[in-house]
Amino acid sequence: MNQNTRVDSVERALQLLRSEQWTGPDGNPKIEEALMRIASTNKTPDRAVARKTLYLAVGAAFLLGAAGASGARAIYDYYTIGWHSSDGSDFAADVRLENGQMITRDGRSVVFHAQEDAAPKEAGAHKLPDGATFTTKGESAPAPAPDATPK
Amino acid sequence: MSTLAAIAFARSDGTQSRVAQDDEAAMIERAKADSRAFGPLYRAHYRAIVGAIYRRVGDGHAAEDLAAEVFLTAMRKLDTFEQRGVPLRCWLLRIAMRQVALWARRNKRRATTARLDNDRAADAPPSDREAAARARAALLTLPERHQAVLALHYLEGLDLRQVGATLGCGEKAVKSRLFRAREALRRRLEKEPDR
Repeated sequence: MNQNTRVDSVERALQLLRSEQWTGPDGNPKIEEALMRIASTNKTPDRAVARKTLYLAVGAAFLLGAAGASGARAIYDYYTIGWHSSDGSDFAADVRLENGQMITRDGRSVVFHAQEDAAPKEAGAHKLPDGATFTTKGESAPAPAPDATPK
Repeated sequence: MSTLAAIAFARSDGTQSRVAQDDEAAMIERAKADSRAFGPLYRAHYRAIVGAIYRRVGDGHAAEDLAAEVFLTAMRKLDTFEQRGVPLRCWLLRIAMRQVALWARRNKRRATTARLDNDRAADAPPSDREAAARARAALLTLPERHQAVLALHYLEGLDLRQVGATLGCGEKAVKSRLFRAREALRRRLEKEPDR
């Protein structure tokens, strides 16, 4: 095989690839929306969540089209926690961990206060089944029950 | 002329007018200070980046996914970008080349199969589409440094200086790398074992 043939095969391959033009839209509003959402968040939970957000945005754009596609949302892992109040009531809630805080599905933060007579082990770091940790405040607090206040 | 219009008129060979560069420099500084100002940069460069990725992977959906990754990475690492005569597009292309190489590694079978994206290439003659798919598969099997130098110079039209600035090497090194990369691509196309 001579040199000309060799050059031609490479040139032709590169020319073919060069001629392939993107015919899709000039921008993807869903991606931009997701980027801005991430940018607006002081601290993104982690890179995997951000990637999921973007993929969700792209997927929504393709599958649902512009009309009717709901906005991209970050995906969080929720944990169901339960507690026993000093007045005898039992509570449960789904929470996600965000910046070291437990946040309920409706966006409220959950803060546990140890009772004055609580055992020392009830305050401090706690581990969830998959290894994630959260902490409860160790100081004494007047309210015996968990306090869910709007964020 | 608005900022966006100035950037939209940037030449396709990768060079930009001084006015556009100055506008972009200001936009970059704003985005470094506040990530929410990244939007105009995304809009200005999206088409170039998704197009570059599409030429490499031949799949519109994968190209959009990877473009999203590129802009996410760029937004997160923008503070490391230093404006020393290297256009932002070159920096974005370097991230894109890396993402394509990682994609090819993750999707080895898919990437190295002569895949046809029928929806987007339907207007091309079948023989050209098949040849393009084979060329793409051959390029994706090259070492990452060879893929990058070939794609930046021959597919995206960057000159030797820009390729060097993008990849962090001198023009002589780019020339040498281009020669070796072309030879490697030729061997792939002729189905000869790599040396």
